[in-house]
Amino acid sequence: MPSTDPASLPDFRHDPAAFRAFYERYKARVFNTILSYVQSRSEAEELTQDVFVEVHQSAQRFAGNAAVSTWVYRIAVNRALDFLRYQKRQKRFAVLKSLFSSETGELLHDPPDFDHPGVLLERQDAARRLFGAIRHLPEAQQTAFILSYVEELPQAEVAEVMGLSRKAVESLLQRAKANLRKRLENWDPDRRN
Amino acid sequence: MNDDDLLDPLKGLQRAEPNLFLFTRIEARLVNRIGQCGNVHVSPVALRLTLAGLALLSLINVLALRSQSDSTDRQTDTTDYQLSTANYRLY
Repeated sequence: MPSTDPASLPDFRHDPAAFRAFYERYKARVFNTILSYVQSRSEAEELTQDVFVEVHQSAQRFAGNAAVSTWVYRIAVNRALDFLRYQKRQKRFAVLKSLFSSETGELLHDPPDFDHPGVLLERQDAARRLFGAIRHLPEAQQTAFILSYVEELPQAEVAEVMGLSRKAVESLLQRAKANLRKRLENWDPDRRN
Repeated sequence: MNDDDLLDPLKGLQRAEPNLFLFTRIEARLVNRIGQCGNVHVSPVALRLTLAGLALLSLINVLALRSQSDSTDRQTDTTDYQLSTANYRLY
């Protein structure tokens, strides 16, 4: 809740209790945001660690011109996107090197289907397809969609996290939904989206 | 497919909880980081190169001192020789 966020942060390096409280407050938001991008629990935990280490080191530099939650979301989104870019580079390299594992014959560097741990059981199949399709969205559309519909942030905060106007976010969401619809309507169960 | 159908899988989505020990792992990383910043870390390669450099400098100094003392001895010899040849010059 941005309205209750403090305008400045304590120096966590000298206040471990405050850092613990901060972690407890934001851990689920950071972890879930990252999880929606990377779609792997272990990778999401690694990146969540990175985010909190960064927060610990740079809390003193937090200027207070945005809500703390906005600042934390920004760090989390950037970390997740950096990781996805790194994965894409690895994937490209893998295409050049070898597409398939010499041992199992399986396609390498392709993430397995993702089951979000918080999805209701009766919606699991549809959620799996939706998260699979989200993975294929361009970065900005992906961020707008995840923050708006998975994290359920108000559009004003999404705009602030992304450094865009509300109109721009709205337009990104329209395009994201159109792309997702197209992909889900053409979804072929025998071929991974 | 309308918006409702598209967003239906996200209805009732619960937040996932990270591992209970995640905070301990973060703390461990922070302690590691602080440890690395607190102690000046010198790599073994750099240490060996520095020692080798110092040894080389000492060797050069010793050689320079020796060659200086040799040339002083030689100068003394030359002067003695010149004096003796002067003394025994035939007129």
